[in-house]
Amino acid sequence: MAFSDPDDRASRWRRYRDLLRRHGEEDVSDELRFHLEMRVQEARQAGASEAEAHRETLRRFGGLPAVETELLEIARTRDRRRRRADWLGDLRRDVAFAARNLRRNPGFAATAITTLGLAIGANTAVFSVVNALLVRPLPYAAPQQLVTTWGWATGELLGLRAHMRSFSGIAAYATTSANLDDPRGVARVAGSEVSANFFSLLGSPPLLGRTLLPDEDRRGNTNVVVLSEGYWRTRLGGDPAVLGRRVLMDGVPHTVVGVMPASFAFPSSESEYWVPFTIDPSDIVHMWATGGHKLIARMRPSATLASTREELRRVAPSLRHDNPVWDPGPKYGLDADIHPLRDSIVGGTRPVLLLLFACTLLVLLIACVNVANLLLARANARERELAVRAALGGGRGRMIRQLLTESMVLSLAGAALGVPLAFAGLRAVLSVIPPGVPQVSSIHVSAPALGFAVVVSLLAGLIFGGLPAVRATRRGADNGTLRGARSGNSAGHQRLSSLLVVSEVALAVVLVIAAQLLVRSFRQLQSVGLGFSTEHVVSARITPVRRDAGDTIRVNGFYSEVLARTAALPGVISVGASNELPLETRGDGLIGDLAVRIQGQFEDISHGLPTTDGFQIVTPGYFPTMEIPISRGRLFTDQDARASEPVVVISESMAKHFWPGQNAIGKHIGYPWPSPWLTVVGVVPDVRIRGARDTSDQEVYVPFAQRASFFSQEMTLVVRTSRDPAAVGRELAVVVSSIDRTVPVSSVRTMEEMESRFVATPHFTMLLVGGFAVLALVLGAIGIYGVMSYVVSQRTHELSLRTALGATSGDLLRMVVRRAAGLAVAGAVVGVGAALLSVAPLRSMLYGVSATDPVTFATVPLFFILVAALASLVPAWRAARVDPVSALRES
Amino acid sequence: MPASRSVEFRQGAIELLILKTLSWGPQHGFSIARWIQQTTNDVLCLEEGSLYPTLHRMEDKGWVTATWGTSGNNRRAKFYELTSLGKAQLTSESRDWWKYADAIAKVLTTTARPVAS
Repeated sequence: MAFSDPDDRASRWRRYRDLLRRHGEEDVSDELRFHLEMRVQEARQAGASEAEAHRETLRRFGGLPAVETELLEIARTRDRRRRRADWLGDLRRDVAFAARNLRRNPGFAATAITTLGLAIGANTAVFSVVNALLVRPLPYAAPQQLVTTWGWATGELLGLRAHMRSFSGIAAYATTSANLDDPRGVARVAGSEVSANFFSLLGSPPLLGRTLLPDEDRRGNTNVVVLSEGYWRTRLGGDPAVLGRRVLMDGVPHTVVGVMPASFAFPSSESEYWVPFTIDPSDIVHMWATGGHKLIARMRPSATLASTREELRRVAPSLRHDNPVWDPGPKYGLDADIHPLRDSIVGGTRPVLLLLFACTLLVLLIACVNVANLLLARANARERELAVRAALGGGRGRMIRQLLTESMVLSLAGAALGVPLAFAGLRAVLSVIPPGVPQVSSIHVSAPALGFAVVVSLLAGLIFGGLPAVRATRRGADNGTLRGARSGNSAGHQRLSSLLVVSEVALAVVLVIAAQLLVRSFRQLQSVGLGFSTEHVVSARITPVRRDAGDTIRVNGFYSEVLARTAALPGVISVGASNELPLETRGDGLIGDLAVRIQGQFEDISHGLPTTDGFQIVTPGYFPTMEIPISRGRLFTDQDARASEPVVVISESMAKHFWPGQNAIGKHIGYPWPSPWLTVVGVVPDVRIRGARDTSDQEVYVPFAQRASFFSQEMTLVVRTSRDPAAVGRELAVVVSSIDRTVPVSSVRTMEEMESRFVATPHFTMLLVGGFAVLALVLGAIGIYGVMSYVVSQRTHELSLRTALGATSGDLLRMVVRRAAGLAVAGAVVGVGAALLSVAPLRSMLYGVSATDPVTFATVPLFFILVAALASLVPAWRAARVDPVSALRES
Repeated sequence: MPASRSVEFRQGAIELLILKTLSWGPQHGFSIARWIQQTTNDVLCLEEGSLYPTLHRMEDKGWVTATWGTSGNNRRAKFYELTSLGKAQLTSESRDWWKYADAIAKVLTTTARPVAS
């Protein structure tokens, strides 16, 4: 029997012992007094006078007060030690008793522990990501002082350096790439161009050698390079003698001056090298005509974000008159802005992370509510036991303490389960984390995250284990419960329990609605026609180095050889090339706003040219390979050669925009500088270059053979295959190097990979929120099941009376299910309301679905009511089978 | 009456004397003090007060246990009794003491002059 456990015996014995034990101080003085009196008596018997006897006794004894003090100290220490031992003993007994009790109710224990474990695991995994990306300080000196700003020309950088008092330094950086020629061959490597003060501004020391010297961004000094630790180790074998060695970058020798540690990942962890960015004040075109640089600046400790922004908005417009090339107009500089470094690093991931974090908090909350409900039901079921113990003299404090211990044991067991789940969960999260999320390698299960979840669950156990414990033991004092009257208070209990279930359902409804919206949005994203086909297409970037201006013919020959040999590979259906592919997000090609002349409409270069969404250089094979059909006119052929009439193909939107109601074929457009007109020979459907959300659709296609000389030599090969496209992709490098060993092949990817990369963030969000929603749904169902089981067990008496009075088992079944559905309806109503109030942050993540999508808001609550009804079936069935005779006899 | 010259008592040895005294059976603090005094003819200049902290610490160490009982003249007194741990302690400590005393005695009784190195 539970109430005859040994801990009560132990505590009774202790009270008894304490009663017998005289107080320590009295003990000490009694003992000493005895000694002194005996000595005095002895001296008197030997014939000494009273005074002599006393004097002699004290002399023999030595310092009486000192001895007394020392004895009392010993006694006190002893007491303290004993109390601690008692406490530990109680704790051990409580824990053992709790564990035994939980083992005796495996269903209850398993449900509560699993619930907590799942919530703690999920919460820790997501919070670890949030912590790594949003909370942990960036690995730079005084990172809160660092801000970024975009879109500046080199001349403007110098102007800002001269005038901005809020900044102690401004550095420029840009992502780039180069063909690096090292002992292991030629590789296309991503890197950065940075101003000379870049490293010192970030306060990041090199692993080896040095970073850039102050004048190394001046023309003539720029042939130095700082390598990343990763590149140095994998491509150069980690040789410390690398310093001073020359490497060829796009054919130009650069001296290696330093190696940055792997922890340095700016602008991104993909950067394998850093070369100086050329600043040449004498080159006016270079200084002012090329803009769009990214800047990173360090604010002085005295400056705030607001004061700096204000100064920038004052300084930037004043730079208008520094521009010697053109007047950028009166609005110039007004929209200049700065962003904290973390914002520009984490960027679009932040709302997703915050959403996920909110979701895990909801799940943790649901889990806590669930466990609270279970504890509540259990406390009620144990009322009799507690009343009996109280009647037998069980101390109320001890009983509360023991109930609390039980819920603490539950919480800790849940935490123990949660730790491995957190590791597994984080691995799962990282496996679907979208590419481009920074510092992924630095994300680990973090101790603060784990601590947070454990503390929350402990608090939940404390509160929800404590409340019923206090109530149940208080009620134990009146002995009505003892006399067999079942819990006079169970109605109040059921109300609290129902309230918990309603809130749990409401929280779960919010989560499931969010998840459903994201799922629908993702389906919309995927169902949108991109205007081209991604199946069975593989792409690879090919980067020949421009040797001199007249090199175009050699490069053309190289590419026609590559196209011909690739076409001859087994399983290749068609092959083409383009300077930029749809779904690529590099941004350094010419897909992107470019002005255009339109014959007869916009011919004046000096002002008001319309912009298109880009010029794309393609070979004739590009359209069939991407399965972009022709709408009108013709596609390119091999006859569109360098010397023949310059031609273009345009998109339908562009044709409609400039020649509404007319035939665009035969019309002429031109580059935004003096150059021969280009004849429109064909119109193709719009292609969503930047994925489903892309609304830019005015595209111009230029035949590769007729490309303007300023276009890069870099092209991306696209190959449509009948075989596995990835296998064909692996053969492309062999084809290219057999033609020219110095040309690297990089970014070999199937178009499907690129497409999934493109939707990786919404996919990630959908998967995670969806996962949490399923968790919430399951927890909600468990909650409903739990409370209905409890209600049925509490009302057995009433149910049997009803049966005796003629209710059929169908009536009882319906009654219980209706009750559960009622709770679900209440929860769903609250949940829908809460969801309507809280979906606003989702809006920016949704595509093609309204944040208040009526279908979602209608189906999710209905679904929940259905789940609630199902979850209550087992208890309902139990209710329907109540045997009136035995139930009545029992009561 | 105290002896004309008494030896300065070594604190560490007080435990050994108490253990030895208690080896005859339970005694209270006063009788321990008197017993030591009588046995040594009061040669040891032992402050009786220092006996009690030592006794209490020995109790903490588990060498003795204390119980309240009635003394010979019918008064309440605290009696100390050796535990098995205390008995073992007595054996090992007295062995150490003999080794020590023996070594000192050897030096004091030697007649050979030290060899100069």
